[in-house]
Amino acid sequence: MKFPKVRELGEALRALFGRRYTTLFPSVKAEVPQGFRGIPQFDAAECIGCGACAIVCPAKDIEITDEVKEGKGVRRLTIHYDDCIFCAQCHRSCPTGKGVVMTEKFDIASGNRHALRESVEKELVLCEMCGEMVAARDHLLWIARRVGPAAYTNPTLMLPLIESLSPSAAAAVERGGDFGRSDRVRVLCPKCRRISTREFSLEK
Amino acid sequence: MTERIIHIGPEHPLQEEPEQFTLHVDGERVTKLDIQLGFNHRGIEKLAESKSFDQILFLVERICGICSTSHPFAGVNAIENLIGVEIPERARYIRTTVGELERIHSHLLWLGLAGHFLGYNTLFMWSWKTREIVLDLLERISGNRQNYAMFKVGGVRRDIRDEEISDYLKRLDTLLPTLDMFRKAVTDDPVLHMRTKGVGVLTAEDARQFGAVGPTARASGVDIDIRRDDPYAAYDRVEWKVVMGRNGDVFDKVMVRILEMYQSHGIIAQCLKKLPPGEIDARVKGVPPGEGIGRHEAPRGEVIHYVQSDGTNRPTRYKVRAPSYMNVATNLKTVVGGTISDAAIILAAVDPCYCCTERAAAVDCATGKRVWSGADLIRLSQEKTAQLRKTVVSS
Repeated sequence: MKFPKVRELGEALRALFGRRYTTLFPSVKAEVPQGFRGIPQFDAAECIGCGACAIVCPAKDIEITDEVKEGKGVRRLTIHYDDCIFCAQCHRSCPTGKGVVMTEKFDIASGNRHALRESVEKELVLCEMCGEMVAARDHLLWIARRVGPAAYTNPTLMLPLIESLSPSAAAAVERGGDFGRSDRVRVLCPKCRRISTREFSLEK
Repeated sequence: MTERIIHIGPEHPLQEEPEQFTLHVDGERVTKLDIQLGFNHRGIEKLAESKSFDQILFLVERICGICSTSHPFAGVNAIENLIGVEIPERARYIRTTVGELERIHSHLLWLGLAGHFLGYNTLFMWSWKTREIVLDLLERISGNRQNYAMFKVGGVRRDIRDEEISDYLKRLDTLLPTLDMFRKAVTDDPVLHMRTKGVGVLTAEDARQFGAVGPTARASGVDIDIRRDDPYAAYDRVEWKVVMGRNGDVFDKVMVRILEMYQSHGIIAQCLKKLPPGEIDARVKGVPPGEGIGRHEAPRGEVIHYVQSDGTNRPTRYKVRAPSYMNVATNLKTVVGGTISDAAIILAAVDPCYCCTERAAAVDCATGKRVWSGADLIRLSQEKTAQLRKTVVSS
């Protein structure tokens, strides 16, 4: 081109009279394409509280705190959005596929990073002998439904399942209290199950 | 004549390797250059040893803020080399597509910055505007403009929906007119010729001596490209050719990058058209003890990842060599003998993002007084262009 400036002039005129190229974000909401990876959010109804998301998270961003107090256990899963890298590993690794899902929300900037979090609380099932936590109730129920009739071979799975189906039936299940034969039918942590197995064999 | 020293760096907010350049100047001429690296040690290799093979890809993705596929690409190549897994055809094509889209956006970013340093801010605005087309495409394909999280050991995480391919191709073709414009803007602007031709020449011999890689080496006529020399992904399944320069000056480095964007455009179009049906993810059964090497031709040159495993879920050693590490050293040959106002563009020509000029200061050795600031260095370069422009217009 003989006059290279003509090209710039043309571009300047196009920019002057053409459509505005930039957007008015944040006063106008920005459109994101389908499948955009925004922040991950828990779905309390679908989350089973297994903690798989916390294990796979590359940024170690999902925090699990288990609290056992006065015979009640609560597991709290917390996503800290200030550390989140939006990789979607939690979503991919969720066993139900719906417990934690990627949303299209991205505009989460805040002056207070401690406010950038979301958590879900799950009830923990405790060992009936020692009070140690076993797993989240929803997690046990999810496993019990997955394994089908085989769940009835394991009291730790069976009892929460029966309870979820009919609380009165669960109350009718006879339970002892001496680490003997009757204690085989209890929700037990692995340690107590071992003790009960040993005592049971000694009894014979 | 008092020798003066200009310090550039070490703070370097954009590039993965902040470096310090110490220019020894005699008047306008640069007589000596010292380069120091290693200011941004983040312990990524050590950190990688504490992460599982799946998590490492997200870690290495964050080594570089601009090319977030280069490191995962080399990373999956290394880990798959260690495991010995064959990835599905469809995953190969998707990987190639993402890798080449990234090359276009990285080259456009560099082209804009180079224009800015030369005082050609229109080029800066043009190329960054055009870059949005590529970033929008990447956002549609991967779900994010940067940090795509597309690669996993054994394949890719996300599929490209067949019904969207025609839309992608249409968007991709809108790049071509602007690429033509850039090519013409660089080839027919006499001022740009005066600023870049014969400036910062790196001979082929020197490029080999320094082990330069990528466009820096190819502009000097060193025929090196891992995509062709050691094909991976789908690079041996599509038609393309390696773009070569001859003179090794800044002009050739610009042209090599512009022409490479045409090649990348061709590769992406072929990949999207030929995308074979099938799985995108191969099943990986454990990681055996051993070691693996992965290479990828990143926009800046060949990046190498090495991984060593003892059979557990985590590597015992992870090593990364980024291309800029090789290319930055070539400045020893290119900057010396030139003027200070050319130093800005020559240092930028190997494609480290050159925001470190913000930290540049010329200090009088005798008094220790600061003479020039970093902004002054860019101003010097831009003034030279303005001056040349005037002489061109008046002649």
